[in-house]
Amino acid sequence: MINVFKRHFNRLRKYDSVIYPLIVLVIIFTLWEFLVKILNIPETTLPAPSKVLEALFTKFDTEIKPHFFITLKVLVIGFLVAIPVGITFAALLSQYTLLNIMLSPFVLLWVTMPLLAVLPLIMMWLGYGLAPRILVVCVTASGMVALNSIAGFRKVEMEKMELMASMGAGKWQAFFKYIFPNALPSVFAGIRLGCINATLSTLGVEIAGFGSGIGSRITLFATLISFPLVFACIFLTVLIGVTLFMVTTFIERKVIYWKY
Amino acid sequence: MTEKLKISVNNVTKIFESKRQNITALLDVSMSVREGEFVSLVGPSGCGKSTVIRIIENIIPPTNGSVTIDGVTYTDRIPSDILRKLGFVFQAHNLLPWMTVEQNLRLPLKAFGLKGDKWDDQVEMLLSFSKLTNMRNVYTNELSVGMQQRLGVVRALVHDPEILLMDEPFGALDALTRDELDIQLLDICEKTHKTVIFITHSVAESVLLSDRVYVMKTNPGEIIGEVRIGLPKPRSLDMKDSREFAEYEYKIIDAIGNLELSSIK
Repeated sequence: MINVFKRHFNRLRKYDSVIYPLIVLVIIFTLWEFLVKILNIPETTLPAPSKVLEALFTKFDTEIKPHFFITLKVLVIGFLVAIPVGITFAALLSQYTLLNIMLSPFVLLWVTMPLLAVLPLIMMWLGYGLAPRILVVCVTASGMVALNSIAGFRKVEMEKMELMASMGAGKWQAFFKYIFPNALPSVFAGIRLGCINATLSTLGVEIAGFGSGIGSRITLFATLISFPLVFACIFLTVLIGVTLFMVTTFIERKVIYWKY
Repeated sequence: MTEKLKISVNNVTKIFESKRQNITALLDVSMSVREGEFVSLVGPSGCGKSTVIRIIENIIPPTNGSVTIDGVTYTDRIPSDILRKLGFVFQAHNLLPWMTVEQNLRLPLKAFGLKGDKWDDQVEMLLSFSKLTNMRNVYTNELSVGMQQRLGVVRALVHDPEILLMDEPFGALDALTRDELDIQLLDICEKTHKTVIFITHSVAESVLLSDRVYVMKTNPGEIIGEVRIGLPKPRSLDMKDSREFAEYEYKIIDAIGNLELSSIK
């Protein structure tokens, strides 16, 4: 019997890395449901997953849908714009020494500054629409992308630069033919971190002040003590964040094909 | 007899400046190579062999002095039509891992803007010559070291340069592969009349391959002298067993050891 298990686990099949975590998830949900029922935990402390799902499906269209799409929109646009902005900034900074000397300390500031603290100012300047939020998300995410990309553009092998020189490559030819492809692992590390940063910023902004988006629903439903809905919204935020991250990882595998 | 100078290194000095100290890699080094000649540079580590060849290829600028190729002299910037005549082989293969064998091979063609059937044929010929035809779509980090190095060598030949600059190209390979590639190199050079500057640590290899050997010393890098190798061409591996071969080897090793070139008795 043990041997059967051993043989099975030693052969990792293609979808095993998806199936097994899902099994764990199902176990967790079942236990959760079980515990709530057995221990009679009140809904205001911890709602059962069945209640959460019920709330999610009944209330989605009426109360959640527009906010869900606002959050999605802000996150995706902010994140997608952040990527080229961060990479371009990193490219310029890494290739022009003067720019580098002038702007390096500000890159650090860029990444570490808590934008939520500046949020009231941004709201004052740009209003309550989606634009200021997208700006905040973009700024935080692009900082991550830029920081990691700069590191990647710096990790240059002398020999490869000599190869470029031996073929008469100019500064930017060498950049696009060698420096940039070589830096892609670092760039994607930055993109992944930027994704996480963007998700947190999006929700942070919503919870902190704006009246729309899933984050705002979380605070609203909490004040209304509709805990199943609170959990439903948390579940949705997790869903958005994880999906975006997984898409990023998937694209990374395709782009940096030679490392896989 | 008119000697047409293909390459001439004119009193080149190279000093590498760093915060801690200045290193004189080369001091007033002069060399000349005629068209179709095979010249080796030998010497201990750090004698500046790699530096000289990089100055000729214009990867590094000289601190003083210049290089002349086919009558055109340059220091800081090499004219692109002269660069086109040079093929450089690196010590470690130096291939781009995100490209296939064929894409890596075609890189110089792209760089110099060479298109057309003639160049496609050249690519096919070199692929079969280096026994990499059925590997053409393989990514280069999946090849063995020997294959990678062979690819590095044929890449330097793909744009049909008149001059080959080779920086210890076979150093990382085992002795048998090395012998094999040495003979193949001689074969190519004979058929295509290329001018070659070859850097090696192996004195035997330099005697086997070259018409002339420049012997260098280190600290600062200077040329001690040159040894003309009078062995008949085409060369073969069994020449390594001859007494004459050993005498040339001895002369060079002796020069490296004593920092001066003595005459053969």
